[in-house]
Amino acid sequence: MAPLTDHEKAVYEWQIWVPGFGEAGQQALKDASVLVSRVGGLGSVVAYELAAAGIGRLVLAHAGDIKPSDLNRQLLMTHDGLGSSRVESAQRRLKELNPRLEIVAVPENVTEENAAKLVGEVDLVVDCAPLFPERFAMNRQCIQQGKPLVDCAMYDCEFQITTILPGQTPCLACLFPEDPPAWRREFPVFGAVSGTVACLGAMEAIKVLGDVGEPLAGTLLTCDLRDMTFQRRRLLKREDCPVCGTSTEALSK
Amino acid sequence: MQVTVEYTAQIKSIAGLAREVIKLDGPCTVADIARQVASARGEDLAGMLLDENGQPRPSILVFRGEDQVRWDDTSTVVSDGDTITLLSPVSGG
Repeated sequence: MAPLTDHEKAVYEWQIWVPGFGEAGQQALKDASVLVSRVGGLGSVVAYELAAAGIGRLVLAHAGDIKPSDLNRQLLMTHDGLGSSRVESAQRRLKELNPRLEIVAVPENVTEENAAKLVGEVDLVVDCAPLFPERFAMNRQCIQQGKPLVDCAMYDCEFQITTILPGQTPCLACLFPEDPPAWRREFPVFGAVSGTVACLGAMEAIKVLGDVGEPLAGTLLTCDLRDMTFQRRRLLKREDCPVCGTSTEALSK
Repeated sequence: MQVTVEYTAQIKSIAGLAREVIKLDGPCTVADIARQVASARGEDLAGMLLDENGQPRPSILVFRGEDQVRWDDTSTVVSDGDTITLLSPVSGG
């Protein structure tokens, strides 16, 4: 890959100063490719932070056009863009911030049919999707292809985030072996809540790709912003997990 | 003995509170705790926590303190003063 230019060294100077990151970390971000699915309340801010941090290439997957109810939290969407494509709006806003960024805008949500190809194009995935089948499809492909998966979720004033490292940590199917029957795609949330967990998700991606700090591997960070309670929780790997399990039963599936 | 039970997200909305202290007759499992609060707080919460056979739903995560516990783990005994958290599955959007 191309080395950092003098201009890039100037743009990223303040983060290159971070101990343990440096120019090597910045070069790793420039060389990296990340899938963000979707670019809604979570994914908009994840993508914006990664664009600002100097990720080389973003693959953005999100179907549909901008609706009024997107605008309280989907910060890459604008009032002027109502009725137009979400990923096109996201692409335009990100290029305004970082014209060097390569963007692949996919006007589709992740499905079982396209997950293998989309995950295969990147080094890391940030799961910002509202439906468990989308999340399970990304999880399965990340495990099969050995790609890290940062998983972000929220509700009301609460959020949860963990980083799945294939072969090392529990996967999403370890945590949720079935599609939760009570979950609905639309739910209460503030944009400041999605933005908070999205910044944490972007930082997890930077840490994994830039080899700095310690990601939330095998750890679920939960937070309730109503009373600012943050808690780290240790997760269990499921040996009989049909996606990442190592038991005889799991391997035979 | 008594333990604190914490509810999150959708479970908290249905339970109508974030946490409560419940009394127990003696040592029990996390599944016993789920059944006790489901019984005490009505069928909406019961339907979220338990399946049609009265078993805890695997998509609800349960923690004793900071540590996740399997619902079918009968060796982990809930003790006086423990905090049990019932974590609702949530997503992005």
